[in-house]
Amino acid sequence: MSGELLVQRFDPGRFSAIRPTLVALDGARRLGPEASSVLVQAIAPGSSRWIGRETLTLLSRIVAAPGLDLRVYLAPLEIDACIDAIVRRVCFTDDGEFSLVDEVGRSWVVLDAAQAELISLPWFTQLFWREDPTLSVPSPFPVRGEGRFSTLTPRGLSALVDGLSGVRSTRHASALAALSALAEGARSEGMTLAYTSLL
Amino acid sequence: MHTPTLDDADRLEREAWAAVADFHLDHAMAAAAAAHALRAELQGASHPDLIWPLSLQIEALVRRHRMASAQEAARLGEARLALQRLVLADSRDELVSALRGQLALYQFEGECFAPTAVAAIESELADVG
Repeated sequence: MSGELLVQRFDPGRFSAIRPTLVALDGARRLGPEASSVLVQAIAPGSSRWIGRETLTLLSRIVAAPGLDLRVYLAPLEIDACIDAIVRRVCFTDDGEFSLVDEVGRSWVVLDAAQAELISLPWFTQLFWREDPTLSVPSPFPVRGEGRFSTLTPRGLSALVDGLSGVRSTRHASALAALSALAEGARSEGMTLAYTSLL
Repeated sequence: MHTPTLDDADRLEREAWAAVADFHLDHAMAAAAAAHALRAELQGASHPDLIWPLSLQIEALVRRHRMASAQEAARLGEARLALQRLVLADSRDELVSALRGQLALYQFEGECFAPTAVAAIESELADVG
């Protein structure tokens, strides 16, 4: 097993809506107008403090050069950075913000010490470590790199809510309560949770 | 017997891209070089599609972080820049970015290892304005 488990709210509906843009970026050819409009929204002033200045510049360059194939002027990992930024900006609540200092936030929970307790529970390992496609699926984007994550299926989200309801922890009560609230909130709003291991 | 096609080049490039991201650099180099050779054969040595497999090789070499790899990356960068000059002739901003990108390839651990080449690029940048 590896590092902390980061769990965040994720909007699968928005992901579906921008998937054609992500496919276009990944193809590294010129973008069509619809894909370009997604980038324009992502780089709008005040849109995100989690897209770094370099990535904002890359996205701006793409928007400014609609007649060029991305592959003639961008490096492969630059395109990866753009894909990662678009996914986080559009599909994650609070642009995918999280902190390792505060384990609980408005739209995230980091399971560090709490994970050590949960990992002994079969439903937890089945959900987050066994790659059961009925419970979770790797996100098709980002395709490469450290930004990859998985998302819970509706069945997986319910399994998480049900599993947490049976956990009686006093040492990590706040983290588990926050995770439960995150899961129940996502389920009630038609969203889901994305998760990744922080190494 | 399978006759290689541009789909094979695409596949090799995607393999190389994934390998670079996961630091499987030898595999990345091999796949990207094979893609480059295939595109040169099928599309001609001056086709802009050769830029991409060069970029993949350059990225893998830079990630190796060795002087010899840096020098090889700079050499491939010169080949890439030659193609970029053609395709970016009407895109001044991107041509400037490409020239600056090539300048960066002549640096390793803060030291410039090709001052003559750097001077030539800087002169070209001044001309492009």
